[in-house]
Amino acid sequence: MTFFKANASFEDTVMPHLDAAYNLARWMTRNPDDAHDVVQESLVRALKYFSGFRGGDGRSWFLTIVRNSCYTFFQRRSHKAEEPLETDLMAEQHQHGPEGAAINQAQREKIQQALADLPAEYREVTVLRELEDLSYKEISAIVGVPMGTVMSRLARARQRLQLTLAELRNPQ
Amino acid sequence: MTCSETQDWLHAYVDNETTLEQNLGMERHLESCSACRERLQELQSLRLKLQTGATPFHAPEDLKEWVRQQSPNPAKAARPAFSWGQWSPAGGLALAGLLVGLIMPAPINPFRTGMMENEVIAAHVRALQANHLMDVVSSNQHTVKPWFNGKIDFAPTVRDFADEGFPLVGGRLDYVDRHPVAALVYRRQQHVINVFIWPETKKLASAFRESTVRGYHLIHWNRDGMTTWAISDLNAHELNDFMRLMSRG
Repeated sequence: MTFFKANASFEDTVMPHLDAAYNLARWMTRNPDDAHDVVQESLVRALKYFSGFRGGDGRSWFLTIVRNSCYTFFQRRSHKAEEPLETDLMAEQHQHGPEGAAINQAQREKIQQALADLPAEYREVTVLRELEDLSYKEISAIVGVPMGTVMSRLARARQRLQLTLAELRNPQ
Repeated sequence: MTCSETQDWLHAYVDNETTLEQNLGMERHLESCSACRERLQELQSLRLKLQTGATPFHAPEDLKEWVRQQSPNPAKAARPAFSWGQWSPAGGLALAGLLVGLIMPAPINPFRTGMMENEVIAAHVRALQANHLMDVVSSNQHTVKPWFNGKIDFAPTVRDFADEGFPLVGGRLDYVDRHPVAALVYRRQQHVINVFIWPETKKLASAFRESTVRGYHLIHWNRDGMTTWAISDLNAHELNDFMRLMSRG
């Protein structure tokens, strides 16, 4: 398996995680054009460093690059992270399958807005945990903080979301 | 465990990050404490809201295309072409290595971008692109299984793994390798898993064969006269978990 991984192509390593990468960048930048730029930049970096990638967890490796690119992007536009959100925040979102029917559009927008309004350091752990289903260990590697910090940030993020979404009825 | 200990670990508990011992202590406390139980329910309800409301975004096609166009091995591609002027003992060794490589047969892996894999990938992509993922939309195995009656001349085993995180979402009729096949559709978070099943009387039961082609993971096995292919853009580890559920008797 190790042998195979070490010889996996760039495409085989990165492609399975491209949606996760875009999703992270999309929630972090909160804008489709910026997310596109960040992922493109991350891909160029990933390709550059790929010869040094020794196999193993391709998802954590690539998402770490994407996460760092998001913060480079924040620094370049130092106030972007705090800018008001666009009204068409979720316009490009894909269609929902049968499982999405349990909640209506207004509720969905409220949930998405609440997540988008979280501070960046809470938002990233929430997206990685709730939307990408990563473990604390994986999140800790990507974000570069101890697992205990991952847990406490998640707890605080969830407390805020609970307050914002308290009046929303449970999905069926 | 006390209330305060339970609440400290509640997040780790819902995230499956606690040890077995912690789980036991926690569950014992939760049985007797309605306040902590309520906290747990609130947390679970929030997670459900997020997972149903904040659906993940998918990467635009042009980024995928960019990845496809990259050379499979950039390190090799960047190396200058061999030149006689650079001849050296090290070069001689490299050349000797190259010759040995030419003489020794490469390990044969029939599952490496085999014909069947390409067909399975094509069927998976076709179903996603043409928006024809399901003919019967149901998470109920007792609805999906009878749906195949009269459409194909075999009865695939249909089970729902919603409790294990792989809900059945439907089925359809598809064609792979010039056979009509049963296609079952499962989901793992935002990922779609297509499972193709058809009778294969000639082949004996086989071990699981895994492969990765163009970013898709595939797992294939033969059992009880049926051949099964599972394909997804899900990571190999989770697809393996799914395969274990599917192949469980």
